[in-house]
Amino acid sequence: MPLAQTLRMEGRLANEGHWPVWLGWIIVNRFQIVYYILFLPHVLIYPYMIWIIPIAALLSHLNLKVLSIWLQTPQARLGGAGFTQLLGGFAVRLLAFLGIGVILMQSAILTLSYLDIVHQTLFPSMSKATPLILLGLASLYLARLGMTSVGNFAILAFIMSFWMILIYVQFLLPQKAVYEHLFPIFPQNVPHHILSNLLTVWAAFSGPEYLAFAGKRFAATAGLFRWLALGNAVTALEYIFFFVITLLFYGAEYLQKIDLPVVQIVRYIELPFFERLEMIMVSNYMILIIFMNALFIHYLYDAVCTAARFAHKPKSALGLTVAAILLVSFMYFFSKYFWVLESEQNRWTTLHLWVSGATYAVIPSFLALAACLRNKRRADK
Amino acid sequence: MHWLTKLLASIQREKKQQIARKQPEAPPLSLEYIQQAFQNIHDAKTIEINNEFLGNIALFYIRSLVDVRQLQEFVIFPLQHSSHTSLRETVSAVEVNELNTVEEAEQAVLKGSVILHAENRLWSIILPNSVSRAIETSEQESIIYGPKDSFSEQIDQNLTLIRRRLPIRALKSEELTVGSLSKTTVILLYIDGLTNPELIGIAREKTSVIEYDTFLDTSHLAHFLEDHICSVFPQFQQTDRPDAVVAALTSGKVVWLVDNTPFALIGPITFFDLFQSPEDYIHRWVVASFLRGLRFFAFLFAMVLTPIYVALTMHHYQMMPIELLYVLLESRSQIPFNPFWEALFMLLTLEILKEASLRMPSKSGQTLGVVGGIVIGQAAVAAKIASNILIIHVAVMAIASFLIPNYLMTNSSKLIQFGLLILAAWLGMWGITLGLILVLIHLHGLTSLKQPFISPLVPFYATDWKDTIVRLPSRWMIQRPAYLKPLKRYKFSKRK
Amino acid sequence: MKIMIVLAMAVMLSGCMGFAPKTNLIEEITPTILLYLKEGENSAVESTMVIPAVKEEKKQLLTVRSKMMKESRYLLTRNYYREIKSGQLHLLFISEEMARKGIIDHINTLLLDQEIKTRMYLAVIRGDFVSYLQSQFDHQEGIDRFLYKMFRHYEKKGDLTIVDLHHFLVNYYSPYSDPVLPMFTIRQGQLIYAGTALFREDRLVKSIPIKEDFLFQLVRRHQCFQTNIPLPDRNIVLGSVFSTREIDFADRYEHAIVKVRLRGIVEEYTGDKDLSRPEEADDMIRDLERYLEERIREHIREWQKLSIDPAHIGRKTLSPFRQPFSGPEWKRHWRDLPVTVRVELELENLGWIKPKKQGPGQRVG
Repeated sequence: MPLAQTLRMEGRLANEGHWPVWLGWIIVNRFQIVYYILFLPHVLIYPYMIWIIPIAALLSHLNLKVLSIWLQTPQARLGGAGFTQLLGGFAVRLLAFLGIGVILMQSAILTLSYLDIVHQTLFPSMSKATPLILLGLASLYLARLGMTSVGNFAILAFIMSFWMILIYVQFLLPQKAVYEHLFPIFPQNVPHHILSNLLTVWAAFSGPEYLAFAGKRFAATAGLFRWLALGNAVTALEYIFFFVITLLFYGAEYLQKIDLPVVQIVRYIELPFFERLEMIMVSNYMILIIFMNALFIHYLYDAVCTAARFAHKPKSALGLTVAAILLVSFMYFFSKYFWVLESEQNRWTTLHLWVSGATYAVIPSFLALAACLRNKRRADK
Repeated sequence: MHWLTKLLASIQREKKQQIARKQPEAPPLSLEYIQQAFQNIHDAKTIEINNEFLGNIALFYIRSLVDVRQLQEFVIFPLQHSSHTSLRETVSAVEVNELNTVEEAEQAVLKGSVILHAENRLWSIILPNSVSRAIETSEQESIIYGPKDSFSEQIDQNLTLIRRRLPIRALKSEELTVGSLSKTTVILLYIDGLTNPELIGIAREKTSVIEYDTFLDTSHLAHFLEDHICSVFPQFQQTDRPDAVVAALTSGKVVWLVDNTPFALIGPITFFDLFQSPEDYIHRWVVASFLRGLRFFAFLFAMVLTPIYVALTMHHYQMMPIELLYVLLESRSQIPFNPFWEALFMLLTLEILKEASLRMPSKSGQTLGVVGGIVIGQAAVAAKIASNILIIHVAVMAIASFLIPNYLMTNSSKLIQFGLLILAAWLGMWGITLGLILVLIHLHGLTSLKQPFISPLVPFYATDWKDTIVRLPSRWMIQRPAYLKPLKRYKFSKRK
Repeated sequence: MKIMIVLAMAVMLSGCMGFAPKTNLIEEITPTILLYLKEGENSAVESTMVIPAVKEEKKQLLTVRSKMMKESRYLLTRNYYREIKSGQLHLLFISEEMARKGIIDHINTLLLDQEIKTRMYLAVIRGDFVSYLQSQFDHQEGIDRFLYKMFRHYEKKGDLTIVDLHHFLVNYYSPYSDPVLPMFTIRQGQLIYAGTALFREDRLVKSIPIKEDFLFQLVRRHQCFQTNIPLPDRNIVLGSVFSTREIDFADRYEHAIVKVRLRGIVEEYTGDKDLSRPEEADDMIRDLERYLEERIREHIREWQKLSIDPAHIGRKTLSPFRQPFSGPEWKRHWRDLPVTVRVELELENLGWIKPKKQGPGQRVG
């Protein structure tokens, strides 16, 4: 590209840089909490359930080790060509086709759940189409900067969303917290439904499996595991923090009755010049949705091109725009026909839970195993 | 579509080849030709001198460009009375160059040289008429403690001010010419062995491929060097302070000096550089850090204060403390417009006042400020066009916007403010947040000389944060900014 | 151009429902602060709202009768020319009669409304509150704002029982505690704090009168500061009292010990003892301690008889390792639980001037 020209979009998409390896912890952390931090797994009610979080975090830690093994293989570093090398063209196209469905569903549920909160807390009289289109526009704007910029944007998304934790620290203080709500912290008997609760919280740690398709984005993958593990640990601490806060404030019995305790808690804050901070907090959260959707636009584009055999062509701004329109249109029709009644929403949310848990469990293991077997076979030859 | 692009490219290539083929042959190098080229220029003069030893000599020059006194003293008088046979020994000028082509001769005449014709050869003697103003204080970036000199329109004088502060041979200066009509001299400055060669290459190439006719100011040049022409954020820094230029050079940046303008161009810059002032390095570091933090806060404050007012009064009455709500209710109860129109009207009035005060003669500017600020504001409240609280918001916002040292940034934030105002009226706090996120995405995508604009935030460089929002003690800032990738990271000579 | 297309899409897709949200322009709405609920005829709810006055408007009350809470707010809005909004509703007063019948349905409605803040203060009113409000409009129009400021002030101070919606519900839902609310009464055209209303679940069962209310404040919270504690029976007023309450259990939760430690000064003493003499001062202090213990014990016994736990003693049975009592188990256990009360009184100052009586009619300073 001639240097003298102003930086056009095609040039930016063609000349992709790399993500620094330490970015892994921010990406993992934000991927994990983007859905669940507002919703906080609704199975976490009684104080002794706090132990489910570190158990799920430990399992996630092990899974991230498997993920980092995959990301360090030569096939992962090659990107699309590596998948073809590993699984064959037909299998890759088939998986890409399935992936389109998964990406569309995940993105739709994430965005529509967030828009429900916006509808509830901010604008009950506004149609969801308006913020949906605006979010799509912002995500496209970010996506058009290129995958490198989208990954680096995680730093900004982290800074703009992490500070919200400071608002909640006051709920640890005696004025608002009832410390007895944390007891008993050790259960006397093994509680019912422990496995299903664990699976729900495991799904809350899902999200990093999307990094399995971004192997070539990292400048280096040596030492990546410790950064992924750091992100996982920060997520676990955040979940524990928010669970403790909600428990201290509401108590187990009241907590069962509350929808979105993390959002409702903010209704109680009264500053000298501002009240009802949940309006700012919910608005701020939008940056995570935009970040995730920008990433989904790129993944959707790649998946569609792979499934339709256009993967060899360079990424274009027009292609990203089409992918964004496809994403937003799907979300719109999904919200109109499948996301209307509360029962429907609950079913889709449960499905989302199962799909995320399954993809988090299966994708890293499957890819790492396939790559290791292949590399071992080649080494034996 | 691809074939169409190829076709257009091949047509353009063909045209360029045809133009090249039609170029006429170069004319012969003679005084007559030069005199003919400069006909109809009333102050183009020719002087004939007859010297016994040197023979017939003709001098050609343009009177308004040449220092006539020096011409008389160092060229004409020696030529008339010389007993040498060599021209070099006769003419005691600093630069006497032999000319080989007509273009060289034309360029030399236009740059203030005198063409000397003797022995069928042509020489140029550089004797420019140095019309310049004295070194004055900077009006844009005046500081209380610190150097008071600033650049002027003479590029040589400006270069002198810089070289006096950086007396090292590694300070390289490359002369380039831009503008087919203005032929503006641009000097590219950098420190060899410190500045990243990639940056120098980008700067050099960007400057050399510019095709335009006239460059009258640094801003014109900046428009051609920018990566993003549609952004409201300036991607280069302009300064008329030699100390700021030297500081930029020593941190690994590239500087352009442009002839006939007192502003130098510095690049690459970051968003955070636009909030730095030379005074920061004069105050105590705690005070300087506080003032810098205040500037960032003021920037954000100036952008969002009125939109927040509009958002709260139009959508989120629950967010206000009850006492404030009642005060607002009382003040707004008789305003016929909704808060959006009220705010828009007052903001536009303020902008009109600001622009008018710039154009007013200095004597009446102050009166207009008083009339506009107090009378119109007060009258607007009395006539129930605007509420008291909005007037306060708008006034505080206007003052806060001037905390930003970079003048171009001040005006950029105004446009963002109008955008946020519309979003606030439409979608309340959610709209303001969306607007800020869009601005953030825009900043994230900006580059300055191909370097990311929001370094050291993204990409994150931990050491650079010592001099970004806070200004830590100079003793602790032993490394140059990492985002510039200088060849010498450490400021101490013992470390590389 | 792209932006215009996007905006056009937003308009078309959102249809009639809302391209832009319905605004809450503050000059077009009426943000009310105070709502009063009373039981009307045939179990209807009578809701009275104070409509704030702006500029030349007059302050007024609006009362409607309806079966359901939200219906009443719907009717209130229709009865006024500006839309009535509840986003700034800070005070909910409930009549004593309605409080005795149960209030959770009405409060639940409020919680479901996203506009309403959970910091809304609740109180029980004994008397004709509507007439009181009407009478106040003549000489203090901002009565609703003054009441809100009063509640906010005392919430920070801690002298009175001030409870917001969130705390009421936490205690309502918890099996180890019962909610309380402040009780106000109308007397001679004044709204007077009359003590604390005790609830079993969501029904008012008893109220603690103002003269005994300080005792409740002492045991209600772990730490409390009271400006004055008048004890006319003992001819003493204690001032700047900082109290700490601790609850322990002995014999595997078969016996509860409530320890109250008070630290304060003597503000006024009109008794016979000479406080400058240490023995007499000690006697006085011991006597006060016994008196307070007896009074607190009486209250706790009453609460046990009514099966209510307004002092959240049940919470103290929770521990990290032990299986807690279930809700019904605790209720049964609490009814018959022996409770010992121990009061420790530390008086830092017995008064600047300690009057000493020498003989009848003579006082030596």
